Amino acid sequence: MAREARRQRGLGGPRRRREQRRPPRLSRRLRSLGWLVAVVVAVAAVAGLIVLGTLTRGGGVDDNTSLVVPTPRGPETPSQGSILGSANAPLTIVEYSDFQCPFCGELAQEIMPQLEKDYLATGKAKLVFKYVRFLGDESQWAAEAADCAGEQGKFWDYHDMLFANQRGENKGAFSKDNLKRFAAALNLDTTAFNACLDEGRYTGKVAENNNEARTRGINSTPTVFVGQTSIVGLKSYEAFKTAIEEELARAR
Amino acid sequence: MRRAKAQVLARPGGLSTGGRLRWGGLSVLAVAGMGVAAYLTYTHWADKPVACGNLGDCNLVQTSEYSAIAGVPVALLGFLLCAALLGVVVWRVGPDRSGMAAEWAPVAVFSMTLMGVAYAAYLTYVELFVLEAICIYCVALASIITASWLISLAELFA
Repeated sequence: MAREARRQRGLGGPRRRREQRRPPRLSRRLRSLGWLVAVVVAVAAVAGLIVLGTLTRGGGVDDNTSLVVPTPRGPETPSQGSILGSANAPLTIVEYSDFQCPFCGELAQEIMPQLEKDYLATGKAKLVFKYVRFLGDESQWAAEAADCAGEQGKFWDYHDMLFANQRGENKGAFSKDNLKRFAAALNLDTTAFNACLDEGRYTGKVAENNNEARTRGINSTPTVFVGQTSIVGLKSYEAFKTAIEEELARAR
Repeated sequence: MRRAKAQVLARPGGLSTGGRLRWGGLSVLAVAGMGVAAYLTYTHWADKPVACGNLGDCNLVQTSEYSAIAGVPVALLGFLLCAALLGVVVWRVGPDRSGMAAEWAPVAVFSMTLMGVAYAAYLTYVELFVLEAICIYCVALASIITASWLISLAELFA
């Protein structure tokens, strides 16, 4: 009756007719199914995110049990900050390295110990280590952390610790938490170390090194300058030895 | 009486006053959430410190390994969620000739905000008990998402 009356008065109009042409409301079963899907999708998505997050963090060093603690350095090779070897050594070797770069890790662990024994400990050469940030945040934090350890005279022990605990790039191995764990494992004064790392005391120095590397045309790590000779990438011990001997001969 | 009801139904989108309040509220929350999440995503990518004064320790949270999943900043996920929420709100309040939006937009909003609330709860747990640092922007975003979820519940029972 009412509809009839509205039609007669012209109240229905096109909008009202559209309203009436709407498909009938969805069946109860379809609606329930929709709700079920909505809740299941939401729960599954969150569970998936948490699991994925945990798995991708898994690359990191989670606790001290999986920490590789390198042999502590003895007094054989003198060091001052990031310089290894005697300050009066006739030849200077400058190494540009990223703590996250795997080849830098190999250089540090496979080649450098022998070079150190033959040339740095004997006072023939000194090594100036320049960290750069080429690979991301964790390279930055690791570099800052090395200098924070350097404040306590442990730059080189921390350097060894970092390279011994490389676990992929930017996967949490050098998260600030882990960097603090490394410091604790090296028996550093953790209060001082943590304060240094948290306040970013050496943030500027990383940027300085990066700029310096750029102006010297370095675009990959490791890059080592033996005197005037540059060695790009990971090379054999012999390659370094030849370069060092040549430079030493030139200096004589 | 019947005529008044017919006019309410004939309004575009068929929204009652309460409905307009709820969907309007959701749009405000979605935009606010996008703002907060965009700021956190920016600071994450640009490696900038988060300006949070002395409230909590935003930077510890933002630089922690929990701040990204497989390289994707968690804040970006929050931004996408809020943007999607805004999209659904626009769908709901816009022309709805087939009635699909009226039927499914509340379901979509409920599902999305449930997801947001659950993940925000997990992140807040991580902040409090794993990192032992609270990030005021993260708390703000979690509150926005929780409020949206409560509104979506109200919409369900309206």
